[in-house]
Amino acid sequence: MKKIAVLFSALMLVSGTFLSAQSLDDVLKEHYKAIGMEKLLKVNSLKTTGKLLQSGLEIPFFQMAKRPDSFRVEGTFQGLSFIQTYNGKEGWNLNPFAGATEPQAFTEDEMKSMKYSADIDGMLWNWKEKGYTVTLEGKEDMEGTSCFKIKLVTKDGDVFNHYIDADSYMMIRTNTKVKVQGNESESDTYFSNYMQVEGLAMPGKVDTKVNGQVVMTIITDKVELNIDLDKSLFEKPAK
Amino acid sequence: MKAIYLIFTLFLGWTSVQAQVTDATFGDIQGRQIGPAKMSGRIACITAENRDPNIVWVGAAGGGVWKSLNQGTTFKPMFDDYTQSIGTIAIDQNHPDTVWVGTGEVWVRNSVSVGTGIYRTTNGGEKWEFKGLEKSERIGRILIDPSKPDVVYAAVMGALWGDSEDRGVYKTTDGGKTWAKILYVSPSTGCADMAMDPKNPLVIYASMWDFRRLAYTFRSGGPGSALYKSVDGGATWNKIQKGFPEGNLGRIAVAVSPVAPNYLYALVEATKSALYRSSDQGVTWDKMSDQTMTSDRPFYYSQIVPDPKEAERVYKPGTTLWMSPNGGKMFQSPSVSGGSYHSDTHAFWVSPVDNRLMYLGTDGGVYVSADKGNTWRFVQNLPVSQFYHVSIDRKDPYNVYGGLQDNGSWMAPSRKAGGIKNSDWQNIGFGDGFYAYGDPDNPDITYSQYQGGRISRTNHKTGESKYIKPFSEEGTGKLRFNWNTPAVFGAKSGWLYVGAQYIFRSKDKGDTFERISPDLTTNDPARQQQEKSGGLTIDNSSAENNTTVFSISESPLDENIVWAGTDDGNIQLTTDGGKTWAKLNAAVTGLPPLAFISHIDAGRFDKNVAWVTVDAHRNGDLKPYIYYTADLGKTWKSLVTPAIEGYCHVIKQDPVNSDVIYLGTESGLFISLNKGIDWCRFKNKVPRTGVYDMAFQPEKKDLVLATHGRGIIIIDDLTSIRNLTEPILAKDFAFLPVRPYYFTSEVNQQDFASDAEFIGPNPSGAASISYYMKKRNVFGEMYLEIYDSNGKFLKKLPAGTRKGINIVQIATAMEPPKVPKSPNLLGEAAFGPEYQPGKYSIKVVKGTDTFTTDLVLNDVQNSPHSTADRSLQRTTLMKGYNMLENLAAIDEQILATRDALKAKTAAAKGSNLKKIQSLIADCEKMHEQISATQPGEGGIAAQVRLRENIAEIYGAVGGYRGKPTNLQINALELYDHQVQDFGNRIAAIIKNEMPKFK
Repeated sequence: MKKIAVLFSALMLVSGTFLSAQSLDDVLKEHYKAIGMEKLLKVNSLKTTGKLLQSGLEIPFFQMAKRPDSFRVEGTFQGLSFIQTYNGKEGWNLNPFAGATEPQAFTEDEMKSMKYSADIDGMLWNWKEKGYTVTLEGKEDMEGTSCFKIKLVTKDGDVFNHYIDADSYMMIRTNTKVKVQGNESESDTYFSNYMQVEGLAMPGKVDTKVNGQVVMTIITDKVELNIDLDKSLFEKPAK
Repeated sequence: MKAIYLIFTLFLGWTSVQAQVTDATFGDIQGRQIGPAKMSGRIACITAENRDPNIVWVGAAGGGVWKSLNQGTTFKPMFDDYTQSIGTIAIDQNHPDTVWVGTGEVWVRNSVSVGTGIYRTTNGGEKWEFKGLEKSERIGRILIDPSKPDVVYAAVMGALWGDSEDRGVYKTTDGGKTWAKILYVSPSTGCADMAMDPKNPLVIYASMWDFRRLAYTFRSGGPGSALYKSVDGGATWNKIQKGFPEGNLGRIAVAVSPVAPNYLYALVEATKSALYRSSDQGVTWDKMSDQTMTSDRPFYYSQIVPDPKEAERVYKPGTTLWMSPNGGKMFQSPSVSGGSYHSDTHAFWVSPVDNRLMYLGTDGGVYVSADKGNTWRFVQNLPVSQFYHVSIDRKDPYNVYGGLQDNGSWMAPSRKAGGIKNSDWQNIGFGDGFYAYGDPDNPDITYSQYQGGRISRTNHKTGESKYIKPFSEEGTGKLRFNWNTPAVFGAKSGWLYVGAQYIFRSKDKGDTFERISPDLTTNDPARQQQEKSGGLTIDNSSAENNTTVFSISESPLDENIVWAGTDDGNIQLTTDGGKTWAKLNAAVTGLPPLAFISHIDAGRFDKNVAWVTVDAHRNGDLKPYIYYTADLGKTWKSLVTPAIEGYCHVIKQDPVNSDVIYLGTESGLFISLNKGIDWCRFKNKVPRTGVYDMAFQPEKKDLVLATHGRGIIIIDDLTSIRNLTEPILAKDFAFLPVRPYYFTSEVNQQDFASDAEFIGPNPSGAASISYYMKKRNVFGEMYLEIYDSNGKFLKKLPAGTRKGINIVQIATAMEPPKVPKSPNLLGEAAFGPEYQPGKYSIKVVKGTDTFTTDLVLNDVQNSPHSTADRSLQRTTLMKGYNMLENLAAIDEQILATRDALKAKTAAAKGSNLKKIQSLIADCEKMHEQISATQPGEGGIAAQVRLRENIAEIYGAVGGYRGKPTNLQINALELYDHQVQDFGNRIAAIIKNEMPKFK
């Protein structure tokens, strides 16, 4: 028995050392390998089609992104469409469900969040150049899955805690604390059902939780890469 | 390496599957705290940021740390993963994102909890680091050197129930990596309070307190109590109490005026307690006041708070808040025109920016004053209530009943339209509340009690309350009742049992009692001296009553079998309805002597079985103790494993699956799936708070927890946990059953709460399925498909993908109807008709695997509607649905035709053009008659057209599961003709007119 115990603790020691030696760069390297970053960098435009589930409603939905930093979101219900566009400089929101029949220019806070969304490579890629501060906060249990927690803080003080599965190196949760109108807004995004699209890993299901309750689920049915997306799609939407 | 691998696998092989159960296994099953925040609970400490007093931190006696950014309008719990008993919170005011928390409340009443050391955050509470002092048990004050934030002093009060050398003043100079004990007096003397000179951080004052609590008595004061001063950052100390009373001192509160640092205040407990003030930093003292409030229960309130702006103004929190405008010579209430707040004030903070703003923490939550303590606003969103017990009734929705520390007894529904609000809690008893019940036979009657066995039966219809506490008879001597007297209804018989040193039984709900036992306790006279309890300040509130019966459990299988446990260590059993009793202690190996037998749970499946928790913390032993017998107490087995933390309050066997056992300790809820062999803490929204009692609700299959710090927490629907058997746990994927689903209706309520009110969430009203997954689904598509009983595909839905139990809510409604186009949302038609009651099947597709289970949707329980009426409702609803879809299609045709006509205008001339323009106008007109075309404000359509008319009826018929009104049916008929008319008109245009304009 004694021998076994020695062997056992030796094994623990080895694996322990191995884990603690992993740096932020190591984890990110593995993460990029897992998601197919090399391929993603060659992707110029991206369109996902799916549905948005909210309060028992199912809303057909798509997102489009184009390098360097253009973004569009659109969903339709009862023949009415909400549209958000961003051309890298300006952005607009058309939301007839909120009683707006004319597109409204984004506020600075909204623009910030569009800018984050428009980053095809993800915020962690080249974080230094983007002016973010990123730290590896160690390993944490996330609902039974051992995760690396990587904290990203923007210049404005917005915080994005990324939880990367220590086994698969896939992103499975992002906890976000963003300042909106001077107040903090916190939400959690859970990613699952990753699918392979031409060598890229794309989440098939994204749940957004606020205060632990799911407020929105986005299901992706189709991902198209490098398709022609006209510039006008990212400009002020038509009424 | 191969050998190591083999050994490693062997190790795993030895471990049972159940030993691998972790909190993640329970997956989506989570606690649902329904409050109450109505009366909140005991607050141990409050502090706020000096620069921005809107940012306030609250430490609860048993409910953790809460932070508000808006003066208390909303609060967020910040410390749920850690000990919930809080002693003190200190903000580094120069770096306010750095906050220290000392755990373990220092208002050491009989029910006080225990801490686990000191913690620090450097990012406003997002992340906490444990910073040592793990044996400190109670920390009452933390001082941070404003010039060197890594230099911190901790006042460690230490163990309450026994000797300990882990107490005194501790100092760290490296931000908590290492600590030095810099002032220590004796194993019974801890540090009660500290203060720092605001002008010189090397000058520290520390009051040492010699004290001890035992199960049957309390002593405040002794030779160790004294006030010390250090002028060198704690390297050397001198007593400074020239002018204090002679003889032993008790607890001393100490404070320096922030605006006049020469003023040093000491509130001194002594034979004659008084407030003293020094004007020379402690060299000499002046007695300022010995008003009786200066001797007000020092074990419970011991603070003196100089105003941060006015040198002569000083506050003394106590049973009520006192204020002196003249340096402590004379105290009065700061409330001139107000003063309505819960008594027993433990925490108090005054803003140095604006000394009119203050926060007050009481036995009943937090209050805010904006006028120097004159009037107070209650913070209605801190659900830190401290329950002793909980019970449920069998109504739908069922009610929860329970009694709380210093907040009486209350009941509330487990579900309410719009959530469970503070106003849904109904007070049913006063004092400190304990066991409380609704009468199973009469919904107007409740039972409640207050301290020392004072039980009442109240009829809420007549307003009468009958006092049914048992009294002495010839030969019984004086009755002794525990602070928390057992008053329980027999699980088999429904008879009421009440424990004094004897057990009394009533078969008529308290009108007639018979004594069915001899004295079951040690009857040790030394443990019956509570009239002398308190030390320097006598305090006999019945909190120290001892040698009493504490737990009673009648067998659910045989009313003659009654188990009893006492607060002085006896486990007793009768098998003949109380004629004879046997003391079983000798058979229980390792039973700690003279401990509280905190709970006995008579076996639900075998009358020879009993489960027992023993709580020895009042003897200074914080370890868990659980015992199990299967032979009526002849032999016992300990069920304690290292996975269990905290001393034990309650154990209950699941009423459906005999293998599942629930355990409540001072550190939360623990579950065993294999009869107590392996345990796992249940963490999901059940913080590390004391779980004192629990109840099972049979119809909803819920577990209801009474926590002593986080109110009532319900774990909805145990069915999945009950079926988490060994073979299931071994699988990668396995379905689990859920409780039967019934459609329900809820009356909408127009009752707007504010952000400032806590609202307890309702259970999900959706149908659901449950499955267990060994691993999270990270890769590959995973979704559900729903089919009707004929195998017809209905729709695709997202699946749960987490590890452990997934509860997936199924939207059991058709797609909403398509509606004609308009700039307005059509709310009434935003939802599709719900599926018909019946059996459906759900296919879970996970990569290449598929798994199929049934989903049964049951009609409303006890529906008052006949089948014919239900059927008429369905037909009418579907008629409205189809009519909207039909109208949408017609409208689409109209608009398409209009657009096609518009395209032809360019090429058209003369009468042709006129004709086209006239037809376009016809189309526009039809569209305008079908749909509102003007946008409405705030969701209110400016125009009501055919689409709005049909939707109104569609919504109304869908919202009521019975017979539609005759006019709803008639109106739909009428609208149907209009729809058909539009259909005919556009068809005619398309058929007869369009070909003319090739």
